[in-house]
This record gives sequence, C-alpha cells and structure tokens, in this order.
Amino acid sequence: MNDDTSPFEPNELDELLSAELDGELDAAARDLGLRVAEVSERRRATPGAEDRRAALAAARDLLSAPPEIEELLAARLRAKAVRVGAEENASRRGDRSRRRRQIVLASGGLAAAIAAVVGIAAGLSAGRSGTSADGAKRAVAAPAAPKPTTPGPASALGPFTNVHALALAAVSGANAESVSKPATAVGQPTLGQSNGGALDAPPPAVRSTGKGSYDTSLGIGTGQCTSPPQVQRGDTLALRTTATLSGKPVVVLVFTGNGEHTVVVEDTNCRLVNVQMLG
Amino acid sequence: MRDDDHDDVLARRAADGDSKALDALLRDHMVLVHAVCRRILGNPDDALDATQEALISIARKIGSFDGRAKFSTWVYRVATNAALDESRRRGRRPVPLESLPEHGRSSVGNAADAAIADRLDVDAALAQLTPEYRAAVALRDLVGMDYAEIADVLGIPPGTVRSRISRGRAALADLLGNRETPSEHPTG
Repeated sequence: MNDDTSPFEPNELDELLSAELDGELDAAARDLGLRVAEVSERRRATPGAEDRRAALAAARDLLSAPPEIEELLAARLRAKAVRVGAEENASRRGDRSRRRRQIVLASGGLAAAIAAVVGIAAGLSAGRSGTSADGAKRAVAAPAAPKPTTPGPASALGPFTNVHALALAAVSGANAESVSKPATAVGQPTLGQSNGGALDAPPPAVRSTGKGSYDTSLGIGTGQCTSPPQVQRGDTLALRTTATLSGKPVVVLVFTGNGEHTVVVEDTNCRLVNVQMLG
Repeated sequence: MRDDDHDDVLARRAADGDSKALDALLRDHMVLVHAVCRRILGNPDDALDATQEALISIARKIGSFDGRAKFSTWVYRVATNAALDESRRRGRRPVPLESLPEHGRSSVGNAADAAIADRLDVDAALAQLTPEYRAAVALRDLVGMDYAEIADVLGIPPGTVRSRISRGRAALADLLGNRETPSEHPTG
C-alpha cells in the first residue's frame, strides 16, 4: 500500500515525469488520483527520480530530431503528389461542368416532354371539337414547330433532348399526316434512304452521352437502311421527318400497324439510335 | 508548429487549383510528414511509401480542408493515418528487444552525452512499441502537438496519449541506460 511518502512505481514515475516535461503534470496527477504536492513528496522519496527525469528529457530531445530525407527524393515525392493533385482538380472541374450540362439537358428534356404532352392534349381537344386534320396539325405544331422537309411528307420536328418526347411528337405528326395524305406501305427489310433528306439541324456542337444520345464515332455512309426487328412486316410508314436529338440531327420514321406506332430514330448514316413502341 | 495563417492562405489557393501553392505547402510540411511516417513505421522504405501516400492524400483532399482545425493538425493526421495504414498493410511486427543494438543497451552514465546519444538507434528503441504508441510519441516530440490534439488525431483519451508518450520516451531512456532493468512495455 502507498502512503503519502511512498516511492512511485517505475511506470508511474515515468508517466508523471514525462507529463511534467510537457507541462501536463496537473492533469496526470489528477488522473492518478494524486495532488501535485503529494507527487512532489513521493518523487523525492523515489530513488533515481532526478536521473530518470534527465534520461526522459534526453529521450524527448532525441525523438524531436526529424530523420533526414534526401532533397532530391523529397522533390520527387512532392512532384508526384502535385501532379496527382492537379489531375484531381481538373477532374473535379470536369465533373462540375458535366453536372451543369446534365442539368441543362434534363431541364430541356423536361420542357420538351411537357410541350409534347400539351401538344397532344391540344390535338385531342381540337379533334373532338372540329376538323380532326386541322386539330392534329395544331397538335404537331405546338411542341415542335414543324417545317417542310424532303423527301418525306412531314416537317422537321425540332430539337429534343429526350427521345420519348421526340417519339410522342412524331406520333402526333404521323396522326396529322394520316388525315391529310394517305400513308405509304412499305415492306421489310428496308426503310429507304433515310439520309437523303436535307437535314436542317446544324452539326452537333456538344457530344452528349446517356439516354437519347448516339455514337458519333460511326462512319458516314449512304445506302438502304435496314429496319429494326420491332417494325413488323406490313407496317405502314406514316411519317418520315427530321429532328435534332441532344444537338444531333436524326431521321425519324413512324410506322403504324395493328393500332400501334413504331417510332424509329436513326442518325444520318442510317444507324439506329432508338426504337419506341407507342399505342 | 507552422504559421497557420500562412498555411490557410496556401491551402485555399491550392484547393482552387494553384499547383505552386500546393507545392509550397508540401515543401513546408514535407520533412515532418516524412519524420512522422518514419517514426511510426521504423523502416526507411516503408516510411517513404507512406510519405508518398500521405502527400498524395493531402493533394487530393486539400479541397476538403475546411479550416476548422489547424492545417498542420490536418496534415499530420493524414500522415499518421497513411503510416498506420502502411503498417497494417505490411503486417510487420515490432522488432523484439533482443534484436536491439548492443550499444543501445549498455550503461551510458550521462544521459546528455551527445556523442553517445547520436549513436543510438531511435527506430530500434521505438520498435519495442506498437505503431499506435509510436504515433503518439511522434506527434508530440516531432510535431509538437499538445495532448488534446494528439487525442483528437488518434481518437483516444488524453490520458492514453500521456501514457503512450511516456512509454515511448521510457523505451529510449532505457537505451540511454538510466535504468538497470527496463520496465515492461507493450509489444502487441
């Protein structure tokens, strides 16, 4: 048992002396359940305590000397870290920019979808109230301001960022065309030369990725476009027109059959971009 | 400790993509980052690997430094974590006491004898301790952090910090020969 003047155990002494070197004696004593005066008493009663304090102080001094590192080596390590940091920074900036662009595109897509829905609603409403052909034409005009184009009988649908909105607008356009002009029946496997038309959209300025985009790395070519398997034999080509999807010119073909519409979206090289089946 | 205001200014510029500011920051802290890694790992090659990891982490995460803590505290926290991670990866066990250099265990007499002290292998002395113990010693004696800061960095109570620092110094003091029979030390 310890009394007020009993010597410290070695580990206890080390801890108190080490704490004293760091100006932490009060906290150390408190944690050990001692008063500072009691620590002093017992320290005096501990043989070799002062030598031990000197040894701990010398150890501290040795430990405070940083090991050397060659300047050349240090510079290499630093340079690599700075390079990684610069790459990380560039990547962060790129991410921020991409996110901003995606938000803009998503907003555009939403607006196009709303416009398409409003247009369809307007078309349906007009169809109920009067001449269906005029109403349907108004429905097409509402979302996308169609323009005449060749060789198809329909107009360009305008810019879209959402392929579903584009398909809805195309079906509206097809409905309008169907009442103004008989559709041409086509058979498989060809759809005709879909890049023969004068596409009025400018070349894409920004390459987009994800839904509604397509691979611009595909080669440019002409020739017959092969219909996708979703188009059934005997389906009727109801509309062939152009549009811009995520800034890229596309050809849009609407086939009808069995009360359904199949909307085929291709790039200017007859490469399939998307197929939508709509009721 | 470093000039914290100066560090904060450089850190903000570095976070904004200023590579020169980042290089200046790393240059300012490089020696101690390496020293912390070396003391914790006890092996020069491992220490260099950990130093590289620490510097890269600092460069990558500089944007996340929010200025609430001192920059130096943040830097040495990163360095400590890099060294402890490296230690865990290597799975190296501390060097047993028997493998310590003979001169280190001889009686020295005068602890302040600089010529003899220079010959002591600090790494070997600290090798008796686990990396977590060595981290506390390095952050106190190399970096000059107070006990509360060390406790925060290591996620341990200040009392444990005090105990670990004491053990580290005692290990070296034993090598200096102040005590005839070394006290028990954790070697986990």
